[in-house]
Amino acid sequence: MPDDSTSDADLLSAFAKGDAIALDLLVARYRQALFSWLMGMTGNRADAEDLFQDIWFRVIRHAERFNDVSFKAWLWKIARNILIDFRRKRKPDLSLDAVDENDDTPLLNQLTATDIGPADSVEQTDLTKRVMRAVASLPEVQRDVFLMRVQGNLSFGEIATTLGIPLNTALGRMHDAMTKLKKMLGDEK
Amino acid sequence: MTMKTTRENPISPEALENELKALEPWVRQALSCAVEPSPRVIRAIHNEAVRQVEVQRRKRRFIPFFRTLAAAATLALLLGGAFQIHTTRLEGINSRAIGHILNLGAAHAPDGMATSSSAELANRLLAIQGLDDENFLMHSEEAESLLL
Repeated sequence: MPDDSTSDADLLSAFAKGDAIALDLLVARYRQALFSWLMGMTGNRADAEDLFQDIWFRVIRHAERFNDVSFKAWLWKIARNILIDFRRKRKPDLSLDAVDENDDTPLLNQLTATDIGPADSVEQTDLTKRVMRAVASLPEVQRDVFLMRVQGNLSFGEIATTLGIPLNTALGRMHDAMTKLKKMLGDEK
Repeated sequence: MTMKTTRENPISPEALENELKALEPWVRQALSCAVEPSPRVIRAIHNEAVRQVEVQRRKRRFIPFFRTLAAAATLALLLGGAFQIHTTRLEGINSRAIGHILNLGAAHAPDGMATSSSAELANRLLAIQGLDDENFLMHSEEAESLLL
């Protein structure tokens, strides 16, 4: 019976053999990381949800074909392919002040609309806005690497494999992203 | 026009990780405020997983059956084919034998000789039975006894 200690590959293998609960565990394990990466990449909750669903549907359909070393890298490879397809069909809208088509609330408000305690809420919202604005302003290639590392918790090696770029390029993009973020966030302090 | 630049010094992952430590909590905290997909999406994924498991289960159940069926059909086809070939061959042998009997003596006859050869065959058959024209003449003793 799979549980929280079961490895990703074993969970996927259990699912491929007919255990639907194993996939639920896998989704729960990557729900936050993947979804926040999608939010960072699309800047739109509705799109992020659609993509999140599409990614897992593809995982479900291709579970038997998984033979990579790292499930996480495989998952992000699928996620990136789906994101690329999505962008081909539709131009990205990363303006944080943009209004979501399905919701009249500006994106920044959606991003910060969570159950934060009253005392923390003002400070938290302010921080979130500043960080989100800074992340969204990064060039896409840098944002991609940065969010994969921070939100996806992928190693630089996994990021390089997922993006099909040399390790040094991944490190360079990360370095540039952090330099910009530090400058932006520092300037706003 | 932008120029692509190359880095003079390679970046160490350790140094980056250290730099990231200061920044990471901020970003994580900020983004973690909005990182839950709606339960509707999670339910849809779960339903798709259950559906896929069911499809796979059905496939696993039916694939051996279809494989056996396909193997049996192939075997029946092979046996049928072999029997058909055997029958055709037998028929061929029989018809050749009949043809041979009917064309006895005329098998190697040149064209135009077939008719005379058939007549010859008829004569031979009659000769075998002692009924050919030449030998059908009664000897005098035989005729006498018949007359008596």
